[in-house]
Amino acid sequence: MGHKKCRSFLVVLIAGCVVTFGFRGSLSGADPSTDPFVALRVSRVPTGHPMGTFDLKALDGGTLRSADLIGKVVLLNFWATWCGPCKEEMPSLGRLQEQFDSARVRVVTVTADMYPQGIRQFLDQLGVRLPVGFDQDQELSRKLSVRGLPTTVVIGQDGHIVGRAVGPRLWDSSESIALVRQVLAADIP
Amino acid sequence: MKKEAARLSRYRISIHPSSILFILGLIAVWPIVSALAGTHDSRVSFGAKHITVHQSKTVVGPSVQIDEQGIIFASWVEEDKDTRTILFARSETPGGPLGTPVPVNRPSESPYYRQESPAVAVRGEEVFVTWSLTHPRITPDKPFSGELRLSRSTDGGRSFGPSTLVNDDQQVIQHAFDAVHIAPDGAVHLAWIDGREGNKDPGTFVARSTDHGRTISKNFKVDDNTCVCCRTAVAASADAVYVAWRKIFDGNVRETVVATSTDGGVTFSSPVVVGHDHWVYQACPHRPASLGVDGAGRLYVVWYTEGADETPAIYVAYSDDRGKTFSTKKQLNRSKGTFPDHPQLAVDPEGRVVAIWEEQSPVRREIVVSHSVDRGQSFSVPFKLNEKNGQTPTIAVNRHGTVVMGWKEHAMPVHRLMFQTMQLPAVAIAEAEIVSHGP
Repeated sequence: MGHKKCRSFLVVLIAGCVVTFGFRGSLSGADPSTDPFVALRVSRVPTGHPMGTFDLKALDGGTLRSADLIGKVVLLNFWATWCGPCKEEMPSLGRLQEQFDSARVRVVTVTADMYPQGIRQFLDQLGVRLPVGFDQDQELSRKLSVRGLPTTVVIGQDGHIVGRAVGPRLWDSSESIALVRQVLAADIP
Repeated sequence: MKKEAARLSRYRISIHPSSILFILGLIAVWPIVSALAGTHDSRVSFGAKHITVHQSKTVVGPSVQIDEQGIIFASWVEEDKDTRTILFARSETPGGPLGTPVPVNRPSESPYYRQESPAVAVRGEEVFVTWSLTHPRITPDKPFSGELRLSRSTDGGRSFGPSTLVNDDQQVIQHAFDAVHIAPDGAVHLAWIDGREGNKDPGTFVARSTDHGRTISKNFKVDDNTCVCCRTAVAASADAVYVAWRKIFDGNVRETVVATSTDGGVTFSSPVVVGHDHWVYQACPHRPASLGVDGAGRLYVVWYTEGADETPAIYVAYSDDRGKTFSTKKQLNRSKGTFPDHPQLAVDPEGRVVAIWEEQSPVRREIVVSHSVDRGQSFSVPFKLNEKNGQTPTIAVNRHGTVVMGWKEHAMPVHRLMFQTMQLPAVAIAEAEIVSHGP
């Protein structure tokens, strides 16, 4: 097996282990009353899989760069316009962002739906001001093993994935805020 | 020299007579072992790959069909400079390449954008394409609304007439995730997902046209609690029409189900669970089932699930009693290092079954195909088709076992639509087992 193939195999193996075991392991054993990951049913990713690099076209006409997110706690929310649960949780994501300084915490949405006009109208109606990146060919979704919508990937300040929620959540709940605070605190060197 | 001979003698193989018997036995049973393991079938021949290159901003699709002469048909959505167009192309020679595409929608019509290719059905010179039109009464508070339209060509897809509205509810909501199929009697059957009743989860709706698409019947709700984003599928035999979709059961259990009509699509049975996967999922899987029927009336279903153990898998099952019960499901994906995704199925009258799907990893996205020539009992080893990262595979087969496969490849900075044909061998089962019910 060539070096390149071997490396690809290892990446797949690690990603597979993360998806198969990592995201489930954290849901058992911990105390929901003290662990916001458990309370919010956010699977912890203990191996710290890196977010990777990406440049996505953004709804505002600019570029959404992973490099601009390093050093912040990031909630990367994958959604689509046809996904009912995605649209339901969107306002709470907007309110979560309002709870934190955007220099320290960023809520970023990513969609494969190339429908800027409708998305702009939808977010305006909700009064949500979150960045939207277009993952046209779902390259980023695939890299981060996003297999259903909505999926929210929680990324620490060091650019490593620390958690993942599949399905909608109330993102401005006390558990969500506690989760973000915990990730912020954990990242302090 | 002696030293070398002595060294080699350590590796000399001594063959015991019983070992010879074992090897001969293995050779004798190998065809059976191969069949069970689904080995690659060398009798399959592939046509040339045909590539269309698209400089446009976005391409969604393709959907493919093939006629009895081997002419291939394809439809896709293309967006450039914020103008979306449903395009259709056909080959002039069997197996391709595709000719110049023609628009399906009128310039004044703006197709609603979604990650779904148009649905296509072809019979003779008649071509039907369903697609979603951005709702004419769309408002800022309902930006994601569309009408379901049926477009028809009577010259083999060289031109299309004005489209017909399929949904009859007039509501400014989504009518999407559609399927279209032409039954042996010529009736055009349509299915889609529709939230007109205002429930949290939408319903599966159907309609039909018995006058070649000129008029559409009153819409009929087949069932509630439909998974909002998993596309519907339709198939028909001479005596039944089938609709498949993903249904949400209590506890967010997602099951692929099939409902059957024995009155030409006027009414449908209650849905029957196909695989009993017990997949609990509180998000949108966005992965449809696919259907096909052979000449003896065996209904085949292929679908994606993660099951009770949350392991992505693709299964096939069949029904010999018009969708009342289903066989034990058979897993099609075999790769250990990738996740299977987006399966599609095609079945010819002889019972040749062919499935195409993606095998994904964080770094690769492959398109693979696998076939069965024994009516779904065994499947060949999946065979890789793509060159660049491939996605959204689609497949169709004609009555001669000639298969057309289509998929998209993203080759920066352009999109490529790929088309290839494949000739399946004759069925490997006793002819007496096939009793043709179809035309």
